Amino acid sequence: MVSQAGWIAIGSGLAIGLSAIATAIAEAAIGSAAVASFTEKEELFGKALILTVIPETILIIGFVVSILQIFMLAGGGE
Amino acid sequence: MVKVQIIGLNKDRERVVKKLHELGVLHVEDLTKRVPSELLEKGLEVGKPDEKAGEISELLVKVKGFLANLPKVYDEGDIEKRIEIKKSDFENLIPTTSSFLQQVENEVTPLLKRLEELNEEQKRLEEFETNLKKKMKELLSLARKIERRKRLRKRKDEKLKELVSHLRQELQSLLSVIEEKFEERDFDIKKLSKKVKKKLRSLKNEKKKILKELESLARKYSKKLHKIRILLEIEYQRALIVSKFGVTKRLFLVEGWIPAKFYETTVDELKKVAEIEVIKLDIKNKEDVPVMLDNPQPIKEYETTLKLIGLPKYGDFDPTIFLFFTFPIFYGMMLGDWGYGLIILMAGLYFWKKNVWGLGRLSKLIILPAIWSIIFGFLFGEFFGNLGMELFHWKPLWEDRIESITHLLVFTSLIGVAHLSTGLLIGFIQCLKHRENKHAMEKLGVLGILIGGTIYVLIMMGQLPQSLQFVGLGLLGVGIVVTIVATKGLGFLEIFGIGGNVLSYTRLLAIGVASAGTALATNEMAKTFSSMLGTPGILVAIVVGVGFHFINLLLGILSPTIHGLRLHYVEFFGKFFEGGGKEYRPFKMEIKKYKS
Repeated sequence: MVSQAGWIAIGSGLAIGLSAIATAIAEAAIGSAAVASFTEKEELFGKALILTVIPETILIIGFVVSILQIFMLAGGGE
Repeated sequence: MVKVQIIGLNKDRERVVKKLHELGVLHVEDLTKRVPSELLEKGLEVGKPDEKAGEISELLVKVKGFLANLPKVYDEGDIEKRIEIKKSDFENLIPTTSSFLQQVENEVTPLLKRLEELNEEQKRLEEFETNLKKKMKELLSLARKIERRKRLRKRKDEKLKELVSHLRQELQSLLSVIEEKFEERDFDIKKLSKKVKKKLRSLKNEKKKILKELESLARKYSKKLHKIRILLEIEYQRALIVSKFGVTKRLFLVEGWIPAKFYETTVDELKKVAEIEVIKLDIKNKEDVPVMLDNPQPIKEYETTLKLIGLPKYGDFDPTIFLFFTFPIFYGMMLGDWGYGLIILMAGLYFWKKNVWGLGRLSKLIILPAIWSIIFGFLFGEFFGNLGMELFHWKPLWEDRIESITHLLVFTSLIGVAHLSTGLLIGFIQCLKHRENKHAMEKLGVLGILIGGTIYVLIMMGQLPQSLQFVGLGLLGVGIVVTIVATKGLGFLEIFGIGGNVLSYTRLLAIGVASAGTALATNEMAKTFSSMLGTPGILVAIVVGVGFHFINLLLGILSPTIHGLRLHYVEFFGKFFEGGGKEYRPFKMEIKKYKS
């Protein structure tokens, strides 16, 4: 049987892992479009770079959720 | 910015243009794109480039041609830095340049031509040599075929006859080629290839000699050629700018922008060289005004990072100062390792001073963030991850990032609240300035939601006393109402937006923990290797440790930079920055040393 700590670990792993996959999918699409646009017009580099990292927020929120799960649930569960 | 019209007599035009170029403050508007119809009626025409322009560009092409074809004996960047331009250099520039270029041409062109001939000859000979070898092989195999055929002793062998005649033909043609090339009727392959080799050798020797002569010529002329190139480019710009003017038979008119602080002196200086009339125009449309960022050093350096996403509109707040203060702090907080910080600081200083790979200006920007990384490194007690703690028991001055992660999560969110509030306040003031009252109200409402919400959450977490609950909920409620009223309902989305913005600041912790985690894993790996494998294990540990720390360091330069900038561009600037400003580009000489 999986212990309670185990469930929490799986949960927080999923939280950060799935959001990382989501970020990756979003960034792949934006990134390729960004590269295409700034090869045409070089001064777009800054904007392209920023647009590319925008979905990283999904990952950050996943990270926060995962941390909260580990520290708060584990802290409360024991 | 002051919008001006300068009107003068055509006979003074050259002097005025020269003075304007030297002063380098007038952003010239292209009048030809919109000559007002009333002026057209009065006989104003679109200016044509100075008649000298053609001559200058011809000379310029020649100079550039010589510079490209002469061997490079000096470092070009170095030469350019040392060239000193004097006002007197422009006197009689075209005639003196023409005669000088004639002289250079007389000396250089024959050599270049000869060099080209030699190169071609060499190519031909080399080709001949390889073709000859190939041909000989073919002929030999043909001869062998004939031999075999003969041994069959057939009576009427048509095939044999055919082969023999083919061989004869081939030999004939080969001999005629050789005769033509080497004036020789004997066919001795060894002699021939010796001859080719000898010819090639003498060719190469001549080439060497010519190159040496060219090098000495380059030493003699290239400095002057570079100087002439710069002078001609300046003259060319001056000749071309006229095409943005409006002209009549006797007068010329130029329109443009001058920063207000330079206005008086510019007019005075111009009036010294010619009789001109300067008219101050009203600014009708703010969108047209070019934007000049005006920050003192060293803040000015960070203007580059602002220009990455565009300039603020004319009269709007210039956020460069935040990129100078908060961006380095954010960077330092994310990297937060004084081992890495020291390396980046040293590398940055080195790249800056030596201008390695032309990254001098860019590396200057990393110095301040590196210093903050060192400061936060001490606060978090990180020296190459936990290496300092493991080896020397260095304790953090403030908190261990990995152990007190929840605590720091709150802390970084609060930094976000502070940063966003500042942005909203700037936005509020800016809206008031533009008399956009609705927008100003919205900013204030969102600020209420932000502060009220934060207070409420902190009370829930037990960080603030319960008695403040009224304040928090009140602010939150008023904020929501004001926002919704100001935006006619759509504003309720802002409630979620601002929450997301605050959470976004937790990346200050997340990026750092990821980097610290990688460093920790690296150290653990190295430790395992060294304890498992004995003496060779220590070597493996060093290789693994250095390698992984190096990769982590590279990521530690890239990642915090991008995320630090992003927090400013997306979350912070989103509260007040509109962008889309037109850059102020004065008509100016781009040279290092100028003596008038």
